[in-house]
Amino acid sequence: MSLGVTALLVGLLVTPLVLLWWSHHLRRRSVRQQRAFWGAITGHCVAGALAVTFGMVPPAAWSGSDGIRGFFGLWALLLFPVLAGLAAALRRP
Amino acid sequence: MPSSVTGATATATATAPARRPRHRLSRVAFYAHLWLGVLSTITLLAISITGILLNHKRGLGLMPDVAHSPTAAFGDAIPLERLAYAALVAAPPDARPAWRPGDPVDLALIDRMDVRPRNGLVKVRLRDKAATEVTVDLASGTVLHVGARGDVFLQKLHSGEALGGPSFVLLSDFAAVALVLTLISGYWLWLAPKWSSGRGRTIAEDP
Repeated sequence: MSLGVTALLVGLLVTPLVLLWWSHHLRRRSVRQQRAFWGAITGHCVAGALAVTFGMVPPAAWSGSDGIRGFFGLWALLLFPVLAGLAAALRRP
Repeated sequence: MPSSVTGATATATATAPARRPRHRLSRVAFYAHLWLGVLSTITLLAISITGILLNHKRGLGLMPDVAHSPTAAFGDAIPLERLAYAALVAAPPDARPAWRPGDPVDLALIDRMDVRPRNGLVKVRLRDKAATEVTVDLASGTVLHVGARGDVFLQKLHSGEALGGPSFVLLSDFAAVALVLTLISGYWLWLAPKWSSGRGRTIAEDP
């Protein structure tokens, strides 16, 4: 299994599990954690839409390096929630 | 204490042990609905979209649709090897990079040959990226159409195979099982409270 597919599986299955676990007793968590949670949720939703869209690009249209499709199709589900969560947590109120 | 309140308390005490397993089941149904729903959302989204596209593959032009009638009896069809050769000659060079006309038929280039005796044609699908399909007349070996099969990749994506082989079909299976369980738990969460309140009312109304 390639690193990209592993990232996809982690983003597809592990990230939602972590977000679900995180959502329990969200109101009792700090404001920064709440902001990070909503950032991660937004990141995951955006990444999901992008991954589905880019995943459907037919093989005939794949380029040699296949960077953009690989990034959005395989890595976005893992990276977007993390980056969006971090960005939301570090944002000044 | 008014008798109606005492009656209600007695009813609640009598029905509480009976309700407990159902409450536990409702709790399990709620969490199964939530966790399985969230876990399988993106997979189901991809499966649903590819499913809709595959249902309308002809209308969307994802697969070549060649209208043809047999030009001779099925018994007069030329050998498969010659049909495959005709298809390879007609295929674009990108679909058969190392093969040249005059070479023997390279079976590694051919994915499958779909013979349609009632239409008098054979569809030769190649193993290139675009899944090129060459439609050849069964009796004469005339090439009727050359085009890409856009639905092949969608089908692999639909089953999960596109991610890295047949073992990824399990991902699609997981999403399907999750969908079934989410449907069942959704129905339970909708109907169980109604059933409960209906039974409670019947017991309360019983003199």
